[in-house]
Amino acid sequence: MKRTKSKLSIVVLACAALASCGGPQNALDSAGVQAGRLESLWWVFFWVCAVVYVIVMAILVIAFLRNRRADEKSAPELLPDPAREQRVSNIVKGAVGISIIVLFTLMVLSFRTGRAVNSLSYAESPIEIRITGNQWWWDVEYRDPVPSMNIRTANELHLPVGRPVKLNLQSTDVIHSFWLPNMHGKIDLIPGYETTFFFRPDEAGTYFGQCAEFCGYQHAKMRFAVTVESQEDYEKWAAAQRQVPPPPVDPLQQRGQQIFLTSVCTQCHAVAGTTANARVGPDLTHIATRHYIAAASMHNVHDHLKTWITDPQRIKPGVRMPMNTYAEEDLNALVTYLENLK
Amino acid sequence: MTSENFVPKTSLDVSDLPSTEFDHRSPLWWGNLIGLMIETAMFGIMIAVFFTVAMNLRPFPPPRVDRFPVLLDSEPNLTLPIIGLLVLLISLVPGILLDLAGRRRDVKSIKILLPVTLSINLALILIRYYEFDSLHFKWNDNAYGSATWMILGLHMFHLIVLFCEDVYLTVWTFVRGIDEKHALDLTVAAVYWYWIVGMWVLLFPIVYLVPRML
Amino acid sequence: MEDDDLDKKQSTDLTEETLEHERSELEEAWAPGKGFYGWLTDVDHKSVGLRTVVTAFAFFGLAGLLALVMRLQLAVPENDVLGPDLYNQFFTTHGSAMMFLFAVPVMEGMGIYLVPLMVGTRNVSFPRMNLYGYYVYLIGGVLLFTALVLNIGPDAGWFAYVPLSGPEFGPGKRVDLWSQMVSLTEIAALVGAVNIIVTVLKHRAPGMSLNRIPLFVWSEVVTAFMIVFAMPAVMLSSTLLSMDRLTDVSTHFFNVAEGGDPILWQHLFWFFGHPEVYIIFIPATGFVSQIITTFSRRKTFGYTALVLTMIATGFIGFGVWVHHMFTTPLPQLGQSIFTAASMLIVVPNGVQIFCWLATLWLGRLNIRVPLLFVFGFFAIFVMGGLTGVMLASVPLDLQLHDTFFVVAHFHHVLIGGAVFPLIGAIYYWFPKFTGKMLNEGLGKVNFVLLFVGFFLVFFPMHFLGIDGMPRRVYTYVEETGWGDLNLLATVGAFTMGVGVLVFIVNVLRGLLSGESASNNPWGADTLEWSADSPPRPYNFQNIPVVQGRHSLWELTDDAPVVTGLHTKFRELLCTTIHDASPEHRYAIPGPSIIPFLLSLVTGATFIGFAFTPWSIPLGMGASFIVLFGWFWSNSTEHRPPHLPEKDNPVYDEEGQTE
Repeated sequence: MKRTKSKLSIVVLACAALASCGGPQNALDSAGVQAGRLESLWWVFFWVCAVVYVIVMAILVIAFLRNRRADEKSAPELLPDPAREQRVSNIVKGAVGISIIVLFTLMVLSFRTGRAVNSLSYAESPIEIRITGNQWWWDVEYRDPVPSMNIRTANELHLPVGRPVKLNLQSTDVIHSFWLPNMHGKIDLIPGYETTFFFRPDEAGTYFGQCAEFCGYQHAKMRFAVTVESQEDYEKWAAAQRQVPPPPVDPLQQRGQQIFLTSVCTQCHAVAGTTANARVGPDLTHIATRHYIAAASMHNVHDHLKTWITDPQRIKPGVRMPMNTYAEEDLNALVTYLENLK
Repeated sequence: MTSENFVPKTSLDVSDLPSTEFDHRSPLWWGNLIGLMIETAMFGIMIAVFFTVAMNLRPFPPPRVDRFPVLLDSEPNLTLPIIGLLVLLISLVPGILLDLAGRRRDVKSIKILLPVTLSINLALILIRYYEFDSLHFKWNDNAYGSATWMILGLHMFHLIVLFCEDVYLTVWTFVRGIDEKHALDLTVAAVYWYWIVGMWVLLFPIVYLVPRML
Repeated sequence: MEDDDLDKKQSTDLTEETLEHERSELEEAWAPGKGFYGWLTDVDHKSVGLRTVVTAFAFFGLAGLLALVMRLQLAVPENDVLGPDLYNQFFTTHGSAMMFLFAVPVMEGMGIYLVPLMVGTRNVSFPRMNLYGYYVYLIGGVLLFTALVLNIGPDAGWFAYVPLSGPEFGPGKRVDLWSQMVSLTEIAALVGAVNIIVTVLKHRAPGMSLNRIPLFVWSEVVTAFMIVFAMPAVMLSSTLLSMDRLTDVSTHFFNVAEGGDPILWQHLFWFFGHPEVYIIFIPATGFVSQIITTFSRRKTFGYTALVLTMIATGFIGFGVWVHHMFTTPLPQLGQSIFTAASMLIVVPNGVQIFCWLATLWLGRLNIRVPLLFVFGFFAIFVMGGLTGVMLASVPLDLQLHDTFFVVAHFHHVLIGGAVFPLIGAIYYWFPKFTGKMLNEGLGKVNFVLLFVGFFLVFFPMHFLGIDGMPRRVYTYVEETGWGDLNLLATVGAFTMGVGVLVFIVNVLRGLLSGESASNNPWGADTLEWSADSPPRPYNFQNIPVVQGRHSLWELTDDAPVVTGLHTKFRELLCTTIHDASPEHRYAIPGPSIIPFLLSLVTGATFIGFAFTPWSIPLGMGASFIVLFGWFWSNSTEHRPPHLPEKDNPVYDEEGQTE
């Protein structure tokens, strides 16, 4: 019985291990300097704990297998051999001593790592981004000393490789938590508090994060996407984001814009260059440049946009966006307009 | 040696032992003490809440701006609270006398002191009722108002509970007299009274003097 | 009084005739009432303890069913078994029920049953309050599940963080009902704690000095003190939340705009929340100590160390709560102190593990089902404890907090550290509770299903957490790749479910047709095994006199027993705190309907408070009336004909007894 159990656990372990060693939303697949430090610390802790566990279980299993058996009628041992007791007592004391030393070492390593991952706060010229948590989306604003250079977007970040990022985090409603595992640990967004958080992405790629503090109905799908790219690509993206989109020339898009501006859309959403400037929901100025919609829970493709606009409650029940009914051609026009907001 | 075939041969006779003992020998006294430990923990938490609120509000206490003229110095008025504190401290006198009378099984003194302490209890509850107005905020004005009302309210709750206990003891004493068990009850109720006074000696400066210092 | 001072005298009190006569008087004095009313009014600690344990297991089953449905929902990405609203209610109710309605009550219930037997007395110090506590607990539990069934179950998590649980973002009565459930169950827990402490302080059998108290009793005393200091925090904070939420009250404790603070809630809750898990764990270590001693057939290794470690854990447990808040903007230095404390608390735990391993190593093992569950405890709890060391580190916690890694961790320590010892304890003490044995074969099947099932559910969750899966999510998108491990976990959950079913079958089978049990089927050492199986209402015909730490193993032929206590009236022996010498006799009341009545008033008061603040003054008034009746009845039971005049003399005006 014990042998089949251990075989089973090995199989389970193998499957599980394969799943957790990499990925775009993985804490042990570090792509940033802090996540790298945390990953190193993790492996130290992991191996120490693994060794301790194996030793404890070995003692237990050996005791179970090798000890002479007794039953309920066997006379209990009340006066055991004092020499043997003393020996075991010394071993126990030694084990406690070793535990204390090991724990102390782990604690010191932990403090050092903690200091290291916080040391980026002294970085010069970080990219400053203000992130505001809402139920259930991320409002993102790149802050520049020159206000006209600010970028407003939602549920995604573009970052250049190797440059420190300074996040300014706050919440408009309940507690959220910003977590981008490949880069760093998480940080809570608490109403009434403004928190500063530093990290530095070191490897290009696309990564995902999601809200890690239960915040209501759609906590599960409050995700965001982060693209880390070269400095030139980042500059290109930023420049494009700063542009105000020109009025559409295509008649279908013009019709789409007309529908957008006369529907309830403008109650919540903003598009720079039009009269729509509400901040209740995500900014849609450059929505066509985003790969995902609905707080990075769906790909940004034509059909998804259509279903999201008409019936967001079916996709994300409880979300604050109402259902919208349009005639087929109107919906097509609207979506085409949005798809060209680059 | 199992217990299955144990046949008792010798005995330890306890029939001479008394049926009631006082103070730390009494289970009731211990039950009361642990109850007081629980209530002390509650007040400890409330004090922590108070200081958290105090740290959050600058200036502290906050000025009263929802009326004219504006009240910049909104520290609590001290007149009635000081009267209340003094009456509470003076109440220790009949309280201690009642405690001692209970230990002496002095029925005559008990029958005098019980109504006295009952009246003082009632007076304290009335003073506390009006004391809430010394605070310039209601419980729903801000977190400071909420915290102070809660502290005063919790302590008043204990004043009321002790009053009810004393009502019971008074009724029983006048209807059925004082027996050993109720002599014990009197001394245990006295401990509760000392705790209520002691707790207020701790809480009074926090509620009424700390706002003047911060 | 030293052992040799104990007056061992050959006595006529111990003739067969006297014993028989006393037995019939005891049977009559301690008999509960008849029928349903008798059950309703029964103040026997064994009756109260058993019904607490059974009720707790019922809530365990219900909460487990909720978990099975949750696992069904999470088995595949974007599943539609439960929408977000129901899922949120389910996980909140699952957590709240497991923590408030199962884990703490079951440990207290086992204590209420076993502690008086283990210290050698007939009942707890305050029997009616004991019964009252049970009913209040029952009302609180029924309240929570009624709310769920009515679709107004709490949905903000078992820890109800503000502002999500506050008036603005938690509309309706959901969180208010949760809050009142908390208050009711905490009253029950506090009342039980008072009883346990005072019983152990004052009613131990003569000769049971402090250093002879069984380890399980120590664990219950330490736990009771933890309850005394931790429960007020959560009662108060849930009351503050209720007051913030009630429109008629509208306080601002957690309202940032008016000087309140959401982080204050977290401090208040976790100041209770962390000791809470030790309140659950420490009695389980008591189970482990007793079972290991009995089935290793030797004296416990390191008794003093084991006692001191439980006390140390109790203390340090109050100093680690901020490790639940490492991702909030608290100052770094403060957080580091809590890392240190959280690592420090591992040391006493380690000492316990080493002492138990030593006992097993040096003993001769009787491998029966209770010991198998202790094995499972080691395998699972030690892993959970080690992931706890990881979580104690602030930087690591920044990655792991609020992910499925934490879900894995706490299920390892709670199921491994509390449930496995508990099931083992049920197998161990079932013969004492019922007079029947549970089936060994079914027990082994039970163990294997629970053990394997547990690993299948919770071990993969470590990887899910590292791979980015946060907690409290009703679904996940397919791209995350979390589907496979979640499916494995769901399979494991149902395996555990089958294991629980086997346990229930074994218990029912045992009750109906189990093998008859002797007084001491395991050859154990503690006093409860000298009572009948199941014990008589008065526990022992004569209170025993204890001669050693392992009472029944060290029982000599000429060990005295206590005589001279009333047998016509309910009476306990009070002994001194330090060395348990006989001190005085203490009359306790008999059955009464008043605890039940008062529990109804308390229940109505708190349930009403979810709707209006006036419930409190009205409830206080009604409580006063019922309590007046309680005290009057209690006082009357201390006079003839319930108690002889000489045991409670009345004084007249001249100060003389009448």
